[in-house]
Amino acid sequence: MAKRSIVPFGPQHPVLPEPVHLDLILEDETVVGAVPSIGFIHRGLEKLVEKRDFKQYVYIAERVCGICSCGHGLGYCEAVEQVMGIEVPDRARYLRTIWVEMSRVHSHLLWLGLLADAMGFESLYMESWRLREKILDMFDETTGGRIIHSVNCVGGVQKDMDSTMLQHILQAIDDIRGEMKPVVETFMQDYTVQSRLKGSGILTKEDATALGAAGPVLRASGISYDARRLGYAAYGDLTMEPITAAEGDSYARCKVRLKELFQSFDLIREAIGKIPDGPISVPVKGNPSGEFFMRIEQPRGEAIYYVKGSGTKYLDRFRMRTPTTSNIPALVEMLKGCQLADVPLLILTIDPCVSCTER
Amino acid sequence: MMEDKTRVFTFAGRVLKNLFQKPATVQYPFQPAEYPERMRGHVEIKIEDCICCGLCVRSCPSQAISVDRKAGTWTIGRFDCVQCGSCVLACPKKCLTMEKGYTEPDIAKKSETFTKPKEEEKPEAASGGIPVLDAEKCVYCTLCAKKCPQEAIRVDRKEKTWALDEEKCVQCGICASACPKHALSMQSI
Amino acid sequence: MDYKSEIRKITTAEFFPAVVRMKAENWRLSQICAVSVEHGYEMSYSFCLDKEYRMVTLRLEIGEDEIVASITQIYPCAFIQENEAAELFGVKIEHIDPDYGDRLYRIDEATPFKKKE
Repeated sequence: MAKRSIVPFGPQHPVLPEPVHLDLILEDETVVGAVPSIGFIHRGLEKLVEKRDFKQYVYIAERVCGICSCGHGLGYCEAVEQVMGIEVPDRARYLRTIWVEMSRVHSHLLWLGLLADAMGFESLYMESWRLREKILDMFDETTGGRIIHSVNCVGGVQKDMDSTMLQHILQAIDDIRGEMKPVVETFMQDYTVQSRLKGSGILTKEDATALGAAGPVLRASGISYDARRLGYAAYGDLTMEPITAAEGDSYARCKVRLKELFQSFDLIREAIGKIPDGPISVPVKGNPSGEFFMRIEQPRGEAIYYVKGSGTKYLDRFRMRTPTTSNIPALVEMLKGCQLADVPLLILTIDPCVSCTER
Repeated sequence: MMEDKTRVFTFAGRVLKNLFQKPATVQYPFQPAEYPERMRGHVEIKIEDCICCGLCVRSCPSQAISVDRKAGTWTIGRFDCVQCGSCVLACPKKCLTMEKGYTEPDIAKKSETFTKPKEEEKPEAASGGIPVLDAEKCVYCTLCAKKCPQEAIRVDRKEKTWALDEEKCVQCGICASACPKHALSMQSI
Repeated sequence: MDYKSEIRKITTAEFFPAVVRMKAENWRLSQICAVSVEHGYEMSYSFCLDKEYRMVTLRLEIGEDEIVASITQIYPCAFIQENEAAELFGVKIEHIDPDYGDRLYRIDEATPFKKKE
């Protein structure tokens, strides 16, 4: 009979950048169950919506998390615009799309780096982050901030990009695409990487739906769902198909994210090619009254923004359901049956962002 | 590129290249960082143009700014500021700007106070004072009421009335510059 | 592909059968949200049908002391968001599995989101 023991894991762990705690139930070295707990960085930012007016809250929504910042701002603005019936100018829709896709590139490169780091592949980690730096430089040039961009506002965007900036972005993307080749080959074909990723943490198609997984985790289990297909921002004018993989293991999740990187490059190129001239914002009159559930595809998965207003400048309720909240139950399922040594890597494959989860 | 082959030493080429390449990082602080034009580093104020209207105070999501209208001072808590640029957008006089360069680290939270030069006390044509209506010119278009950031002006088209709430007025002069008929002038009380 | 989420108002009696039907039709639970309203709460349970990109929200209006049954028996993944609603808003949700007993977020104040400011 195997010996049963409970090992506390996290919130501080050498490979884990996120404060999530797990009580791992082990039989010898095999995990048979896990109880997740969060709550180390709860800040109550949703409540702050009652004290800041709805135009100001964009800045707070953006600061919920560093990596998903651009998308949070976009999701909040789109939700408020839907409630108020504001039609955003075309140029603003395209600018939003370009920035959000750039943030997907930087988020996925960051994740690839962290994954390599969790496997102990330091040089691959450094390489991913070196490439990510090019995107951050472009953010710095176009928005004035590397991580927090503060470009979205209710009714459009605050800053425009001139043609030199758009050219620089295209140049940066081409550079990264060229230099990605050895990185992609290593993640997909290297013997050591494959031995850590292949066949571990399998999430079946049925479980993925039943446990409400989101984003790349859902798509890696063979479900073709990408909220960008809903056509918010300028996605309605661009061509894209959700990227899926059938296996549902860590390797599939890595593959989906790598392919999404290249999909983002194509989307940025297409958006820059199609971007129309014109105004970048419309004046906002009145206060929001009504409610709306907005779905957008964050780099980590589908995020839901709920806005409820009653005609005053302070909203009644703002709710943000971030992808990690939905992916934690899926993670618990993935962990069952894995080895203790694989736990950190599996936690990383859902791309956890606890700061978003707790808000 | 993505097919499921298995190979070894896939990254060796890149690693060898790295050995003989210049580092990707720079020797900061010996080599100073180059900031782009749009960088949101810290807020600067042209205090001569400031009319102490307090719109920046209300627009600041982190409540880093305070304004004392009597003393004519504008204070920013450098360590509370989150560099969002909300005040820059809100300023009716465009006297706030986002500049390059971050606040230096310190051992205590620091704030910076700017005082308006004293000779500016005298009212001027465009700023200072409250709007006064020239009823003959007014067409009751309500544009001033819509533009007013404080909702201090009430205009009734049917009744042809124009009323100012002096308590709410921050004397920003936006209404006077918005008026298509130039019926409003800023006059000191 | 519908951009909007359809909001269906349901009563407490209809609630459980409706969730079971959602499960049988293979809808994915996408979010649970509590809102404080006068004399009670509004609970919104959103479901997504991935193939059609549809989203349906079941809206349950309950009194302040009314007890709601947890849906973790049907959708086990609901536990985080149900615990959150119970802890931050004070919604009385019964039989959450696992129930964190107001210890999901390590906060000192009880039900900080309940009162409107």
